[in-house]
Amino acid sequence: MSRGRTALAVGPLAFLLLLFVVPLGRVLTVGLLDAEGGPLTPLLDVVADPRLREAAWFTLWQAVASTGLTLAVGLPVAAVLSRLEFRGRRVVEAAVMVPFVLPTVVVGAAFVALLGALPSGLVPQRGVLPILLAHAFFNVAVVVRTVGGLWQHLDPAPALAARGLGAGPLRAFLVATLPRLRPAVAAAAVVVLLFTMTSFGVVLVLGGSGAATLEVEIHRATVRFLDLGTAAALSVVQLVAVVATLGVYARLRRRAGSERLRRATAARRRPRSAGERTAVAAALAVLGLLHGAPLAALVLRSLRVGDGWGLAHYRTLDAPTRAAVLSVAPLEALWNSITIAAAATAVAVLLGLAAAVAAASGSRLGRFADGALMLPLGTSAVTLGLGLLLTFRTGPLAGRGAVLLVPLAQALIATPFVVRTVLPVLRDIDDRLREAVATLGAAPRRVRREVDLPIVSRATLVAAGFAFAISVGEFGATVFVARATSPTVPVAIERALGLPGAVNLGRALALSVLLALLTGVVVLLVDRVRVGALGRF
Amino acid sequence: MLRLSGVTAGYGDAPAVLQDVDLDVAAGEVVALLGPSGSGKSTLLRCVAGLTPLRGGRVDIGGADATDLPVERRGVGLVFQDHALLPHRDVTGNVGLGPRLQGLAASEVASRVAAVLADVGLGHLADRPVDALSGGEQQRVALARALAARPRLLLLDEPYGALDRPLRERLLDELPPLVRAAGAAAVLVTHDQDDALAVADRVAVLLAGRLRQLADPETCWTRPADPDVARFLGAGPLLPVRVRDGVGEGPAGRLPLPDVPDGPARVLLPAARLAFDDGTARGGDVVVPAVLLGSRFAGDHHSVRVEVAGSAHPVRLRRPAPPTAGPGAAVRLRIAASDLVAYPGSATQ
Amino acid sequence: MRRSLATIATGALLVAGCGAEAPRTVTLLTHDSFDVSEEVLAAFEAEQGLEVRVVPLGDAGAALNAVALTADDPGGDVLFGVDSTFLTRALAADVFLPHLAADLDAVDPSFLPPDDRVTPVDFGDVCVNADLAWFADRGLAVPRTLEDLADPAYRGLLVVQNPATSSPGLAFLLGTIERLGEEDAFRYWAELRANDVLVTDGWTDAYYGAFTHAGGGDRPLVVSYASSPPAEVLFAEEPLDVAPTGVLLDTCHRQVEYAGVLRGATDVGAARALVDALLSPAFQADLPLTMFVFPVRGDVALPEVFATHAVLPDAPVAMDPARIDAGRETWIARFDAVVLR
Repeated sequence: MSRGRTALAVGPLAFLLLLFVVPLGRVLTVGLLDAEGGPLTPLLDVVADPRLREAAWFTLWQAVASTGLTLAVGLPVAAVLSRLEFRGRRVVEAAVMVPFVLPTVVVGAAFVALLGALPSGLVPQRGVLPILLAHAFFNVAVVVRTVGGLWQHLDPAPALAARGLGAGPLRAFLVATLPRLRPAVAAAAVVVLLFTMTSFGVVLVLGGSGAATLEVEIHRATVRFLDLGTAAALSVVQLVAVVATLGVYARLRRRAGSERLRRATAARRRPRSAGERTAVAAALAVLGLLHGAPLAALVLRSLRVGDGWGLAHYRTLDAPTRAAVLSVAPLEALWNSITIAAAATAVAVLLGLAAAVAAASGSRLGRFADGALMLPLGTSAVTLGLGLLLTFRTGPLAGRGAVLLVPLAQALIATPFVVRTVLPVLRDIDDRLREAVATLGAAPRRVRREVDLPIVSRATLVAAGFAFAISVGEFGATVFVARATSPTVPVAIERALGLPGAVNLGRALALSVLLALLTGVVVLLVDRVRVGALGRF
Repeated sequence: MLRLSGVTAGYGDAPAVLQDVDLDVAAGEVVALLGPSGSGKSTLLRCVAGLTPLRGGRVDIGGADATDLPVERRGVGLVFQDHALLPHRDVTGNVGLGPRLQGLAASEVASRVAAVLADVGLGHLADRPVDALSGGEQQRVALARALAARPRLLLLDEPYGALDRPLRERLLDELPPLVRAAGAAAVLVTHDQDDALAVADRVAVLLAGRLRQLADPETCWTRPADPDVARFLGAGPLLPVRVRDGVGEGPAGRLPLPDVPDGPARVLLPAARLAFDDGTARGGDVVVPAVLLGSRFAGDHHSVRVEVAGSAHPVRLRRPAPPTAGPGAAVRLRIAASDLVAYPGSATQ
Repeated sequence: MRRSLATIATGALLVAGCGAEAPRTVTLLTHDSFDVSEEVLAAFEAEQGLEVRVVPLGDAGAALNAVALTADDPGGDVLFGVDSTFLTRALAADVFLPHLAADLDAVDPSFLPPDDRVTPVDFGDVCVNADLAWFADRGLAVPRTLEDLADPAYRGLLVVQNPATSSPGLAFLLGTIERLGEEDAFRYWAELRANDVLVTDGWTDAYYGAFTHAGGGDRPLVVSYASSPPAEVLFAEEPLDVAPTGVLLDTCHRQVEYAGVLRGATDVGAARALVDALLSPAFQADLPLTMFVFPVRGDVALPEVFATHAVLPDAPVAMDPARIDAGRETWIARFDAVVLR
């Protein structure tokens, strides 16, 4: 039995080998070894090229600046949400999480909609500032979840004791609360740093010509200059940066893990002083501006037709367009996206379940599969996409076979989420549950039907929902492997945003709204069936 | 209803956890399996349920050999400390599981569930999800689920360990009538002597994988089978003596031990039989010196701590009133000579 | 949606009833600016019993790269829109099969490529356009040459495109190098920078954003096409006799656009027919008013608005494709360093 379960790890590992290890190996060989000028020349060229050096520097500093901005917005919001009680707190809590599940391209489109509607000159429509704002929009959720999560479990007694000893509120915070929050703040900061360092869709849409990160340069080297050596070398640089950041994260986590948490102290209370009420109002105002404005602008401008309002941009979505954005009607792209994401979900759920069952059996191979499947998450999507492109340019998955490659690429990114969702549930099934049911008269097969199946199938449903949401919004890897003859919605949105004309913009925004709705509905449904704490990382 | 003969069991290649256990449980009887943690109590329960295979010996349930019967066909009900309720089913769904697995019609299942829930006093919670229940309610549901399958044997593994004392006592009081009404027998695993005393018709003491004593509670506490059992139960002061001609000499003076062979021995003074000697000692009583350590009021009596000379462990005695002397005072205790329990042989420790 | 369902249903039927009569499909991969009149395309489809599927792949460079990356099976039969700038790259990537188009002898010999794998289809000149009314209002002479543009008198008036991201931007850069020589060209660009040249990402930003005439911007000089003035006339809200914009003929750089039969084509026969069609009189005559370029055939009459308002430089400048391929990356990087940093 256990050997059978261990064998389940073979499928996911073979998948990983074929679609991750081999492609990454291709990137490394192309970037480091295979070059006309001898080994390492692409890398040396990259290092010597001032423009690419600048891209590396920009990648770093925009990530740091984005992280700073995210913390500046996120920490006060986390404080207000975890310490104070006010009407609508739960709604706000949910709203903070919304951007995190939105596809990157949709976020880009939302900011395009917002900045285009602002009086000109207030904020440039393309460039660094829009990127930083969009990154903050995305990642405030990370800060609120990580820091707020700890904050609300923090015993307020030490801070109260400090107040009792005569410290003012600020002093008490600095002395008694901040030191204990530091591990969570640091962990959140590193996660945001990682996300913003590997951010692609947002930068591609909002960067304009001046602001290009490594991810964008990899994409540009590939599709613009057809310089795969440079693209691969840039991927190597990116990979090193990501691994270094992950190393820092692992150290921080180990340190954070040593802190023991108290049960939630339920220390939320209504704001008392005028200062606290102002704090609530200010946090909500910033949040409303940062979160509400882009989404509102997205929806409103998708309905803006000429000088009036209407559904024209939505109605023309199913118009076949020749000499325009896409080879297919945009609605067909939506249908493409849904079928591709559904296929990706099926693959991810199958592989994720197999890996989770193998890992839950406790065998070494199973646990190895669990860990190994996480690797694609730490790799930038663009690097994955480039690796897949380099590996499968020829062979059975090239050309028409790309129909299969796109869902496989998306499954690569979605599978770890499935494992992370199902495995804890599978592990948490108490053996005594099975034993108790067995004593009631259930043979082993019936025990699995009564115990394992219902519990795992709920978790699987949740995992499938997440996998679908991730796949349908995936852009970074998809844009490298999707064929123009069957584009997905995120690819279509990005292309439409890059084309002139109000019609193209309107369609891009309308598609963004539809994609956001699709993702939102799926995540909402998932949220309703979720059991216990899911999606833990 | 249950008979174990020579049961030996263990896990993997490790030494046996259970050695040669014999046990009999009659219908309607509640037997408490008492032992320190690691003594093999739960393993014994798992052997009975068929969850852990035997290395040797035999299990009979309901008069038939069940040694090789798979767990689902043994007709036992199992109740765990952490309830092990199915989270995706409500109270009715959990309780009705056994009858459904037995292939009963829906209406029969429903009526049996209703009856059992009424028995455990949970009729009003039938439609609740189980995670909305309190710990005590969940435990009752677990018991109801086991009972609804009409088991011949109810096995309870530390069932009330996580509950607070008053609730636990109430649930323990309810248990024996339910077992008797179901015509089943019950084995209750516990490490808590109060639990065992509260519920058990007989107590089985398991030490280091061996069944050392199986008897009614009073016998266990006043005539422990051996010094280890006496010590584990805290049955009373255990004094080392040297016996010559039917008299044991030791730190507490001379004790009449008529039938004990000459040589070293240990003598138990069962706490349940000890009393303060207020000059009321009669013929046949033995009086031993002791030191008063302290006293406290315990609700309906005073609990007095004394240490018999030469015994390493203090003992608590009940008195209606506090002692007049203070801590450190010398006192005298009496006990009927026939209540002394002697264990020939030298102390191992 | 209805259409996509229909497509799927058709696909399913095709699979189910293999052999049922259905038009063969020929797929034309191209850039986003491709356009053709419906009736011209329909006539071709009817005549050949083919259905043409047009798949835009981004701008000219992106389209070629997408095909080059998947040369074994590019998902199409014909690629149209490789311009002189990228010709060598296309040939090096070996994406095309040799093909001698039926009407090749009707093509002006100056457009014939050095290789039988590509077929010339159209050409156009990238030149600086001027907002004539703007200059007239200020009594300022319209500049004529590249050198004029660096004159402080015209400070802050020119908008160009980034050659890294824009095809006309690259063509204009190549023109300066071809006319001035590489070193002098970048010295010239340094002067343009000193004269406050504006660089945008794409042609749209420049023409419809920064240009005074079309975009309401503040730059009366913009890098665009020699065919832009007829377009202004054609699309004017009120009928015009005279084009409102003019072309600086001494700033032009010529680009030829080619098509070819893809090596990974699934239906080579249909692909050859489609390439031939691109050179047919009907398609050639359709080019000026759909894509605002000139046909490579000399025997096709130009539409009136084109004949009247489009101008062609007497001595066109066009850099040799091999030289372009050798220098392209270096020059883009030098432009970046000289103009943008």
